[in-house]
Amino acid sequence: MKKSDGDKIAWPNYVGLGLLAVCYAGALLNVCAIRRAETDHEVIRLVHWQLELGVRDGVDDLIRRFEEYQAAKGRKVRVVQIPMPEQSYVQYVTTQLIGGTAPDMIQLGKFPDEYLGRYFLPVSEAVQNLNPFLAAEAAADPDNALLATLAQRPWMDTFTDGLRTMFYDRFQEYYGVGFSQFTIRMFYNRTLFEEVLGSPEPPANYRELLEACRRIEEYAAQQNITLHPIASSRYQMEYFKGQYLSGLTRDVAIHYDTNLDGNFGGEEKMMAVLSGRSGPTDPRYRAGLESARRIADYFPRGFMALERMDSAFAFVQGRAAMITSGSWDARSFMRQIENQPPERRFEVGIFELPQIAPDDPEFGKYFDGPASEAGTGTGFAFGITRNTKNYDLCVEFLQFATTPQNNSLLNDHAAWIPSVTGARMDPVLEVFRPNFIGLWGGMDLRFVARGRCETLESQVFWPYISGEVSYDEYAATLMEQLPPEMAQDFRRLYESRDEALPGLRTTRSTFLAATVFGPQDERITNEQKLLRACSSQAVYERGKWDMRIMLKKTREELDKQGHTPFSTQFFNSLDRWYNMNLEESL
Amino acid sequence: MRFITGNNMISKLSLRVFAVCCLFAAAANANDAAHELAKGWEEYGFLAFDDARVSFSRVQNLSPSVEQDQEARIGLAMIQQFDERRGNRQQAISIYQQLLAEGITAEPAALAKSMLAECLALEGDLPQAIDIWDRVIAAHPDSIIAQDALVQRTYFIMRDWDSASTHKAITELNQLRTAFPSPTPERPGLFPTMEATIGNYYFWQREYEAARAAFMRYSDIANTRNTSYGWVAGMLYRIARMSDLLLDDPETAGRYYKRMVVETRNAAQSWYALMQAVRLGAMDEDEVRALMLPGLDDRTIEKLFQGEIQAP
Repeated sequence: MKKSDGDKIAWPNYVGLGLLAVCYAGALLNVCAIRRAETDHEVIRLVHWQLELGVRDGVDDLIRRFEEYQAAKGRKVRVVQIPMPEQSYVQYVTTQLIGGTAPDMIQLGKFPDEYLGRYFLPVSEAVQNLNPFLAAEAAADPDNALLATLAQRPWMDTFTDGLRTMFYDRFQEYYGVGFSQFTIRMFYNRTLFEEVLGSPEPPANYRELLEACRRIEEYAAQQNITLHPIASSRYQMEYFKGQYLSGLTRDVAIHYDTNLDGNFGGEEKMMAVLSGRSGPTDPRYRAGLESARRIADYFPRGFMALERMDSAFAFVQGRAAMITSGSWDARSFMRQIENQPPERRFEVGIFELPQIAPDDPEFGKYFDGPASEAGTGTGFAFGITRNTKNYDLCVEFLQFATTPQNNSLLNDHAAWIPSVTGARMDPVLEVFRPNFIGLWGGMDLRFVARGRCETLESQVFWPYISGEVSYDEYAATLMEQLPPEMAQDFRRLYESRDEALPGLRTTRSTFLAATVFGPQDERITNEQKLLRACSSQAVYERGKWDMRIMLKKTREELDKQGHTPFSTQFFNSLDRWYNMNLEESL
Repeated sequence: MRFITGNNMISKLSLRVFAVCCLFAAAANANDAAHELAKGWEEYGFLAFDDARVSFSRVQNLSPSVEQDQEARIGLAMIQQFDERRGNRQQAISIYQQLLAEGITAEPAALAKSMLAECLALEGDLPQAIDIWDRVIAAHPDSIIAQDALVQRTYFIMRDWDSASTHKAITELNQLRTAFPSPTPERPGLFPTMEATIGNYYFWQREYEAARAAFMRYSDIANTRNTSYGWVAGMLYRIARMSDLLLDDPETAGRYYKRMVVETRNAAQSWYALMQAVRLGAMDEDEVRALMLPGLDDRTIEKLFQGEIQAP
């Protein structure tokens, strides 16, 4: 029988089928190999989104040494690193956690904090005990007094930040351990500085920074080349704004911290604006924004439309003399500069954002000091998921990773700042070390997260920074439009205190039950957790009464001194929304 | 007769075998019930209420002991009370009332009563809730559940800081807490929470001595182990600032600024506290140098002690 045309062309289908069979067999073999490895070995997996240069190599190195250490003890352990692009990280983590197939350790961040209470195991007990690997490291180096001291301290106290940011108030537990720390500094082109300014040294203060920018701009015009003094986008501008605005308004925070608790909260900021003590018309506030705007004059034209990465490219390609960025970018910047053609390569320097000198003719009288970095937490932190079958092994891995020696080696690969006391650091990176010599607080219009005043301010700020409107116009618009928005923000903040209470009561109930029905040997631990849960609840229970009394006292003060149009409008708006007379209880 | 005797023997043997089997079965059931209870509380801890509900419900089919059965029902009631999505407070009230009517005892009874009071308070029946909380406090002074009852009682009565209700709540809090064992840093109970609330009340009444005394009691028992780093730092700062600005007590102010920078150096306020401690003569150069604060070099220390650097 003669084959039909259809039968003649059937052979590609067989090829396809064959390919499919080969792929299937390959996948099957792969699965079998993994299964066999899991049968022979204890396997733990960790996922993270840090794809920066050197990070994966650092983690691989750490894993290799951990596996060797375990093998020397006769234990077959395999640690699998799963690097994941930042864009798909949350989606991946969420799917895996919900499906109960999540890796044993997950880098903390990006996903909502709720996940911690639902899908992660606390590490509170482990971090409050000793890290056994420290004792081993101390024994190997008996002359090192610091190691001997660290070996006697609870694991959490061996971190430079005391692991404080790994404690989640909401759940009253430590949920992770951080491997690195991150700060923001200015990177600059030393080669260009020497060529244009005659010295490779960075500017010592704000005024010198402006002068350096002016001369670089002048040089670019003379040479007719594309060279910007500072590469920037909105992202970097926000940093300058935050640093200089808070630097020039620290005394506002310190003096109008009404309850004296060292925290200038949203309600206290609102009272400072309402009573006329600070806000857009305050010369300190104005100086804060004006100082940031002067710097923006040296940004590329249209910088607001640029992405963060665009400005990074401009810097590494030598089209900008300076850029602000975090320690996480240091290795990437240096490698990218090395990869430029020889004539475009340059030497990189790093310096802290120049401060305003006390004798600065314009702003010196307002400047109180830079921001303290004492509260800089640890990042690149991992938590342990509740589906792990190897919790103890995960803890052991985290302990291994955070001895001074291992933490140094890991961070060396990435050129990041170690998170552990006594860990070595590349001298080039010393400038990134968190600086404790700085002050807290500052004034802004961010009364509540993503609040209406913050949005309104942002709408006026960018036209002001780009020179479309003057500062007087900026301030006038805000003073006109802020009162009803501020009343809304007050209301939101007030209501958020009540809205948080059911969740806090629920968290408390878990520790009440644990105290009564849990094991007796965990009783004291559970009682302490209950105390912390009750303290969290107390902050919110008292918070609304704090807000009411602050508002009442400000109103009484204004009643005596005379209301401003701003305060009248604010109270009219607030009373209308609430129909709230403060003398009456809700 | 022998047949009958033999039959009896077989019967006795069967009975014994049956009894042993029953014992094993009961033990297995008790173990299963204990396992389910543990699982239920574990899921409850993760706020996985649906899974916790399944475990607590299963306990009742596993021939639990009386205590296990009561524990499972408290678990079910707490799910009804706290599950914001699918809970039903009235159902919770009815389970608690049933348990109490059956004569539940000891600490589980205190928990059931206190939870019942909380449900009633949220349903608007505050007088009855207060009455139940008072009975819990009187009957179980050694239990932390009684301390929690007192704390919740206070919050539900409190209104504006300068209101008569708050005055009453704080007066009663002060009075009723004397029934509890004295707190220690190892076993602080809920005293730090109570002291913070009392201190706040006096602070807003402008009775700063009384406020500071409460905050100092807080700082004597709270530390970074039993409460949070931020709260410990905030309280030390607050005592120092009150002493400095409101009570004209530089000695205490200096002492607490120093405590703050020594005990909580990772707080953002630590450099400010250090400047103030030096200004008030509470720290000498050697003590400052020994802190080894990152960024604090000899030149800065020199300027600090020469008064060239001062806090704003």
